[in-house]
Amino acid sequence: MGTQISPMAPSTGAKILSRLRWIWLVLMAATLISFVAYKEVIQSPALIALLIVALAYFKARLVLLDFMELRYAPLGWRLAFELWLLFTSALILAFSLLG
Amino acid sequence: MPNENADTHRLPGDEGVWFFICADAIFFLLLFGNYSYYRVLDPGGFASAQIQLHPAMAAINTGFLLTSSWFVARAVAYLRIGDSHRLVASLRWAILLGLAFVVMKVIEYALLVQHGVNLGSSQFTMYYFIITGIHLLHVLAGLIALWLCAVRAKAELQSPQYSHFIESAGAFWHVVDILWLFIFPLLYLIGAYA
Repeated sequence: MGTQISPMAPSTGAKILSRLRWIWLVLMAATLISFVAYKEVIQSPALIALLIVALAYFKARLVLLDFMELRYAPLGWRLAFELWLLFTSALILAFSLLG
Repeated sequence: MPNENADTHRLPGDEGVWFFICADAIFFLLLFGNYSYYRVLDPGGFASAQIQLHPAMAAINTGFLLTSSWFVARAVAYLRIGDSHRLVASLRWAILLGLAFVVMKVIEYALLVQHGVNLGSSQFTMYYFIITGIHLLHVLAGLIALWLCAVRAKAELQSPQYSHFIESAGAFWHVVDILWLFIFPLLYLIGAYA
């Protein structure tokens, strides 16, 4: 078990909560953009695949770094998840461009 | 968003949970690769089954999970501020949105079954039900963990074990969210152009 971390100053807490709110807004906007682009805007299957996988990568990375706090984690853990994310996105994109 | 007074290189929660999350992430990566490979072998067959899905419902579910994740991140921030009232409120919202995801998923399954689509209908539907079914089990496990966080909050807020528990549950919940961020485009959008 880890040690108890000392309480955070209210001003630091407010800053963090504000940052989390902005990240949530960006995540929701990215979700909306990828769905609208898929339904209404982009006709090319390759282009839509590129856009939605890129947006999924972008969203997942924000969740990993800021909600899961990997931005502040030991480098090895951060690197492992960044690699997983990159590999997963590349794999899905590569196969989606094949057929 | 660590405590600025604390060690800046800190893994939140239990390291064992993070190892489990890694194994889980690799398992899903293999599933995604396996699905993608077989879709490329039969894009027409997969596309004709894919268009029976309800992508709008899945998009709404993405919103539910992302927002639920946000509430869990807020709950961890409130833990560090020491505000148990807002912590519990955030966890309740996170649980409610997780339950909304489950309800939406069950409705989606029911609609498909009503139209005669089931696990054995096609290769695509087999993958669809297996991947989303395993993910749904993760959602249920995460909801139980979040519920435990909520009921233990008032009495155990100050204990290191509690902060460890909520951070671990949070990390798991965020991964459940991240997996869905890929399941959604993979099953519902990519290749569904027929």
